[in-house]
Amino acid sequence: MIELSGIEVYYGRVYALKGIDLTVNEGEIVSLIGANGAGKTTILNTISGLLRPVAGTIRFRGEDISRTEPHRILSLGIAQVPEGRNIFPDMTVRENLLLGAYQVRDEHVIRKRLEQAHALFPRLAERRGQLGGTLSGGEQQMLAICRGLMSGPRLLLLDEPSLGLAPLIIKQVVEAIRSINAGGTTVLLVEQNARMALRISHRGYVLETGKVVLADTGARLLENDQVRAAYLGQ
Amino acid sequence: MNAVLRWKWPLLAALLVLLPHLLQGEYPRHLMILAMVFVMLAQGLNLTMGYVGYLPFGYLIFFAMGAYASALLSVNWGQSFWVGLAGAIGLTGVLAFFIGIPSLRLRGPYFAIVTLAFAEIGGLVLNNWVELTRGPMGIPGIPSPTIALPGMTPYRINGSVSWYYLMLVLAVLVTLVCQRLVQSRTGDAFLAIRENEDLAESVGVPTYRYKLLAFVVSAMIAGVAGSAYAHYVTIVSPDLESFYFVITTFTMVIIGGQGTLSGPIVGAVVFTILPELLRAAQLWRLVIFGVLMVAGIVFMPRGIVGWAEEQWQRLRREGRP
Repeated sequence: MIELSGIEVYYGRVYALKGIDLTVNEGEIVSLIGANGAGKTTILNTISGLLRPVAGTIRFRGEDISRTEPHRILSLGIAQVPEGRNIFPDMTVRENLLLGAYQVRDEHVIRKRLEQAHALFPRLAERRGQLGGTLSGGEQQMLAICRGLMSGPRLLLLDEPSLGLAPLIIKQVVEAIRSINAGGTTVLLVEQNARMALRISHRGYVLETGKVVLADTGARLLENDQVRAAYLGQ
Repeated sequence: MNAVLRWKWPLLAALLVLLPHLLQGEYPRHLMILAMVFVMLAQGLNLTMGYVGYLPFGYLIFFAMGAYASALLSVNWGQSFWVGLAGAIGLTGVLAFFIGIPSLRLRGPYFAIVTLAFAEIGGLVLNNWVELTRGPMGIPGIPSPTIALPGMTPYRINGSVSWYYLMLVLAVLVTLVCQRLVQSRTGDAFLAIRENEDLAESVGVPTYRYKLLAFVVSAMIAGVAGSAYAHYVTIVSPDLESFYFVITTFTMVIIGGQGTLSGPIVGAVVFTILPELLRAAQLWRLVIFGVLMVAGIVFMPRGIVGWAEEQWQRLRREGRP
């Protein structure tokens, strides 16, 4: 579905990614794991168009999108849920969700997606009139995920959805990711919580300082000695 | 109380229509005309500053440019006020487009300073292109507008009452344009940019295009205000860009209530009348004015309108427990 080849990205003169090759197939959950600064978020920002690669191509369903504007990429079917529960704090839950469907004009579709979001996290339905900034951390993360889904993406980019959440909430988020994927949305997941990520992923990539150092199925990466030592603390 | 609320729009309309007849004397009418000019200026500024969250420090250059465009068209080239008005809108729109393209790539204070730099350039042009603008001497003798409809003897806007009505109509039209703009998907996009620009881009709002749109419409509204003001005072000079206009307009939007439609109106009316009331205090006038401004910002951070809304909601909550 999406294929990155030879992607190089610089922040000023400092390289962040030096030649990333990566593929996500239709229907998969693929996770990117690695230490801070390995380039995980940079990869997501490059796919969604917020950063421009200096070299390499990104092909999404056959189309080169490496130099496409972010709002065009979204309309092609890639939605990003940024790190750190990024929401519009002074807007209500409902307004946040509606902005997620900014490019959708069909009222009927919007209403259907709102219902789906409320089914995924019933908490959001209870809080629809509340300001985003007054939600708890977990609820904000739920809101951010649902806002990403409001555009009806084929590929969902999730950046650290478990960051700073209580274990019980993480469980709910994991269940939600699974059910989003079961509903036909492909997921590219960036996580610090490598164990959680690899458990629910079909495949995973391990990144170190801007390079892919390992690529395998989620299950085999969980068994890999290097991964266990470096990221699972065993 | 409820009856008053239900009839608030007709009551307000009646008050605005009757106002010049309730106010006797030229001076109070002049103040109301001035207030209408500031309503337009403040509404325009509010679009970019209040809704999109970008601070265009050099905003008043569009007021001056609109005034000059209109003045030159009518004095040098013998065109009517209406052609001057259209010229003012066109010139300010085009200028804002080309100033906006580089400036809107910057954010926060950088954007504010770059627009200020462009305004300085504009001021230098007005002062030094003597062959066209007569420099600091300005352009005097700008004629009054004439309304000529087919089958009607042309009516000349003359005297404070007819000027008041013309300015009122323009201010209402400007406010309606702003309303149409902010109460639409475009307005949602503006607010999303103000709240979190990167996030807005990532949910699919073409932020750069919307910022440019807001900036250009802001400038065109300032152009309308400038054109009307030029014909009213009959003279334009580079002073139109002076500190007085800059500070007054920004104060009106900030203390009136940014990001609301009524805020700039309230701000414009209050800050046209207040300095006049304070004239009684003579030398202390500016001191009192300053203290009131600081107090306003400290105690009403969301402006007069934001503060009034909070009080109103509190009253309703206490009234109906």
